[in-house]
Amino acid sequence: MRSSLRWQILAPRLLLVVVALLAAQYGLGLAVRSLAINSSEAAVGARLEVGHARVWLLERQVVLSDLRVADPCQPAANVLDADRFEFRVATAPLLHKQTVVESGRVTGLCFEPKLRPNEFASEAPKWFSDNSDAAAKAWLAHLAERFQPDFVKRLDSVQKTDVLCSRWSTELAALDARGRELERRAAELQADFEAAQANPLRNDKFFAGLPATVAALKKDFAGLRADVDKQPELLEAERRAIVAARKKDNETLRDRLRLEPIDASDLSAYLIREQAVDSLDELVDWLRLMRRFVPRTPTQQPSPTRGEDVLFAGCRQAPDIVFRSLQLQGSTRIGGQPVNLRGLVTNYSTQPWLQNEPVRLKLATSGSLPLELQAIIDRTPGHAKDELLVDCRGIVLQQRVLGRPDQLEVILSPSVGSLQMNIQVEGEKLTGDVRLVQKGFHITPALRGSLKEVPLADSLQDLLGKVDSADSRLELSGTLNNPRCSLCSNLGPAVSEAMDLALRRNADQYARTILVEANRQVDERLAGIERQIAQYQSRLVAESSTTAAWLETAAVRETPRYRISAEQMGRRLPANSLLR
Amino acid sequence: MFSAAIGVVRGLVRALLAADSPSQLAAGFTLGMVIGLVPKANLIALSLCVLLFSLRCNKGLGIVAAILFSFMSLQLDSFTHKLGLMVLQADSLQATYASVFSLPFGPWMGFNNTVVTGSLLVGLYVAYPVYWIVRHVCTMLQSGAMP
Repeated sequence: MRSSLRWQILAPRLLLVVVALLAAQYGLGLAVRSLAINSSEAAVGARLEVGHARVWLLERQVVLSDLRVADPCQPAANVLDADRFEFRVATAPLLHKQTVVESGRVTGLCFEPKLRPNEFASEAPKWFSDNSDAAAKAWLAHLAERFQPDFVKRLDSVQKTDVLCSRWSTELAALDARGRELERRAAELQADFEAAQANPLRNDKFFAGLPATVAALKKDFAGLRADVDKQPELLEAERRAIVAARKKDNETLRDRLRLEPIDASDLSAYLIREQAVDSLDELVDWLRLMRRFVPRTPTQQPSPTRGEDVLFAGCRQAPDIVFRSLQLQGSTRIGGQPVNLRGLVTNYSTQPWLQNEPVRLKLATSGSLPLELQAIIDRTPGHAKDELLVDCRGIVLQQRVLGRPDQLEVILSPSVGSLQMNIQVEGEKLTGDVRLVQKGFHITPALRGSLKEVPLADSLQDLLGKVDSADSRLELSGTLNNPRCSLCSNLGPAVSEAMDLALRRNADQYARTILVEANRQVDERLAGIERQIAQYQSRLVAESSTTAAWLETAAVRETPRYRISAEQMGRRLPANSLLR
Repeated sequence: MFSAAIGVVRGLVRALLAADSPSQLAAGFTLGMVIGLVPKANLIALSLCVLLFSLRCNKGLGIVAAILFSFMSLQLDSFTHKLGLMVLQADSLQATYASVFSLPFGPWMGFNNTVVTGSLLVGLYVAYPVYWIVRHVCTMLQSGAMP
């Protein structure tokens, strides 16, 4: 009876304790979930969603699942997803209102960086202070201009031939007009002559003036013939002048094709700068993102508590939440390639400016982009220093097209490369270098746009075929807001040297081709003029021979003058009359 | 209509006051007032709540007082902040504060907050006068209510 009474008392109390524990666990889960969301928003300004939260008091373990961190600039998209985030909390610091995570692990991390251009800066930084790429662009434009296909027309011999042809056309037209005028006059004279012969008495005066007219006409014909006969001699003189101009053409052409070699550093800038700027912009955005996640000063947010918290003399402010060690495991996408990543973050805190030790991050990826990254983010009092070391060896690089699509493009086939990066940001000051080494590729140069007609492609291909490695280095300086960069690469010198050799190799051949073409055009046109002269001469001879023959006849058939006296009009004297 | 409303209030007051002695009513009201004045997210407020429910005093009147003075305390924040700041910045007490603060649960108490300390001090300062007034009022009400 007494024992059953005890059970009646104990059982409800036991049940009450169990219910209280379960309620406490559930309540703690809710509290931890709320704390995680609030801390995330306060620390990085990004909204955190937590699917479930569970707390095991005995194991001091907390598990958050289905985590999503929203993009601060685009709240509909997530920058980070994680399947599970479990961590073990130290109990002693909890008594001092501090959450210290001794160890934790994030699994199923899916990190999809989607940095928009200039997300953090008001305008794109100007990395390079010089205009080397513009100088290279101008040099290539100059080269294209030197190899213009219509340059033949600008050669002295061809221009002289042009002038000759146009002058000869005018002169031929003038001679032709003169010939036709003389023909017209001869025909008119012939018609008048024939009309006069029908009634010689009435045309006495005509016949009297006929010899002079015929003589004048004959003289004009002779003058015309002499002028036409003089044309071959004139043409020969012109030909000699053109031949002299050809020698000058040869020199002009060789001078024109003798170009100073392009500056190797200019060409490096021309080939690499544009792509480098994109990558450097992204790098600076990452550094700024790192500063957003690990700020160096408290963000100016309205305090959720009333009044002020006073820090007593001798007390040291400690961060609210500290992650001593946090393992990361998941996947991401770097340079468009999916990679698996494993990493470790140590000493991360929501208030890093209160920490004594810097935050350290070690990341290693596997897959097509094996990368090792070490970052030291120092926000200890008086410091704001970031150090980023990236070592990426044996990366498979996709085909890259360097240069400009309207001039010179250099296509690098897929290859294996290594990327090393050593960046330091102290305060706002940026220093460091980025080095990319590519090996085992094949270079295909492509001359496009205005350079399409430049006959260097084959030689360039031949010469650049020997180049199979590239070493490019970028040295960074300046500040995060106004970064500066200097570029150094062996690709520019290699292409410059190949360009120079190809120019020298092809310039003579090209000059010969141009001169042959010019000579062909000149000869063809001179031959045409000669042919025209000959044709005109033969036509003139044929046409004027008939006229000349008639003129000769007209001159010979001069009719004697008759004068009829008064007596003759009355009678005719006998033939043997003495009074005749 | 009016008399019906008065009847409801009278019933409520009777329910609150009739069961306990004037001292218990005054103690409940005073504790509720202090709870109402102090910001809630700290161990001091929690301890006061525990005290309210542990002591033999009128809980109902305490809760009503806590709710009423919670609204009122917001208006007093500027004064309590100044008072708390003055007390917490007293040089001679810094070592004491620091040693208390570094004890386990020290930061949870929230006494380093100017408004918490200021409002607690205000509450404690007016506690006895309020207790005395409420006790007399309750005595009068109870004697008036008794036939």
